Amino acid sequence: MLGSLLTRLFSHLLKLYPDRFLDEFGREMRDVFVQALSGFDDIGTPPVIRKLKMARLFFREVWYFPLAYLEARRYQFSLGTGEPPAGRASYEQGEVTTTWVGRRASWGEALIGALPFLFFGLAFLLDGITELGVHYRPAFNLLDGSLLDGPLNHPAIILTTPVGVYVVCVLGLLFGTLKGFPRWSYAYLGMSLYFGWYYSNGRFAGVVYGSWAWLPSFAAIILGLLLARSLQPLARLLQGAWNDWTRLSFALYAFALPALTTVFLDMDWVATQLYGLFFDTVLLAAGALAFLRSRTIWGRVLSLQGILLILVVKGILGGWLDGQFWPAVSFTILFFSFLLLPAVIGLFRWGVYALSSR
Amino acid sequence: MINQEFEEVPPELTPLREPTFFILLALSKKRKHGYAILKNVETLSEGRVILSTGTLYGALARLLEQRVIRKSADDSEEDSSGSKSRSSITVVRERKYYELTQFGRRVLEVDINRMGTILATASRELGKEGI
Repeated sequence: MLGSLLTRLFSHLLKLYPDRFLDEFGREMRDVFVQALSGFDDIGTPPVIRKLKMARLFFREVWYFPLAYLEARRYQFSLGTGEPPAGRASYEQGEVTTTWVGRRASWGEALIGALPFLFFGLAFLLDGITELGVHYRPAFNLLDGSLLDGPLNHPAIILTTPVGVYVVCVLGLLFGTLKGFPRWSYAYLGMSLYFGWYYSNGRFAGVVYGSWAWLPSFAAIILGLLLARSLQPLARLLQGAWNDWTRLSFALYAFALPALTTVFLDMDWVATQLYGLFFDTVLLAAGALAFLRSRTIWGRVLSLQGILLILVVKGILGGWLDGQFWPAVSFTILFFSFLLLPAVIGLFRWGVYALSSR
Repeated sequence: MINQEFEEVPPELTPLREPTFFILLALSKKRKHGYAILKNVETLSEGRVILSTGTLYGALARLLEQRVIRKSADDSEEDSSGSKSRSSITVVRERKYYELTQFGRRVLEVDINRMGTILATASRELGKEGI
């Protein structure tokens, strides 16, 4: 009873080790632990003492875990960034491979990662085109949160465009959780976080959502873990961010399009804003594709920052047209530094390896 | 002979840490699997060094990487607990063994030599009186 419980707990502890280390030694480690537990089965030892010894064996594993983890990390780091061995492909049909820094996403994965940008752009463009073309007013004013006059102002169908995008992002987050947070899923994570933040700060159609606005994202992750029946996706989320800090940059990058739209558009559409949104959508989606298709950290950083540089140039040029020169430029420059914040993790990681390999 | 071999061992490999030393010592006679190494280290160190599996396999990974030891497999019919199965339903699992390489033997020898030199120096300096 205690033995099987401890074995199960040890198996969970094992999952925290880096993938390639686990591929190489995970099964052996588990076998050794099981053998060590059964080593206490000798005749003559009182059951209480035996159980205490078994518990001590497990706690020794927990106690030495941090040092062992660093050693395992160092080992994985020394292996380089090649393709992972096939041994772990059993997890979620091989999705584990997407956790590796050096792996390039397939075109299909890259498109899935660019989808939230494209969907957001398309939804808001349709919103604008409908308003400009057929004089349809959206049921909800995005900025002041008031319900507008018209046939579609029923509370049940308010916020059609942004809520629709939020729903897609939350579904992507659920799917990403099930798949163990591959690189494309960070776009959905980032955009879901943006919408959670956005709706938690304000009054919408007379409703203050507050912290409840985070519920859909939170629920998607919990549901994903329940369906996966494992905490492994969360471990992979942390591992992914630790191995490749640009994933977090990508999640922050996903803030750009909704932020640009909700900050600079007042939803009283004019044609130039539609062109601008179209341009931003294509550009940011292209940046997402380039990011996901890049093999190196530098390639990924350049993919994201390069797009922001183009947005700065666009802001400078667009300043003469719509009079939003400085807000657009300062916003994008602020974003440059914002996307580089996760590099602190990369520096810390580098420091840990430098120290542990001495 | 020892001096000649000493030159071949990179200086950063020695001195060995105590757990590493006992792991190599445990493998000096014959190849062993993980659990046997764990128990042997405990016996050799008279209970002073008790390795967790995490520490053991972290050390083994490093030693494999340094080519001080190598891994070999041995097919055997075992059940999931690793003991020989008595039932008709068995799981064939390759048991992994670890053994010292020639280079590993030199590393161990150099470290033993180093400790021997220290011990000899201390004995000579302190003489029969001791500290």
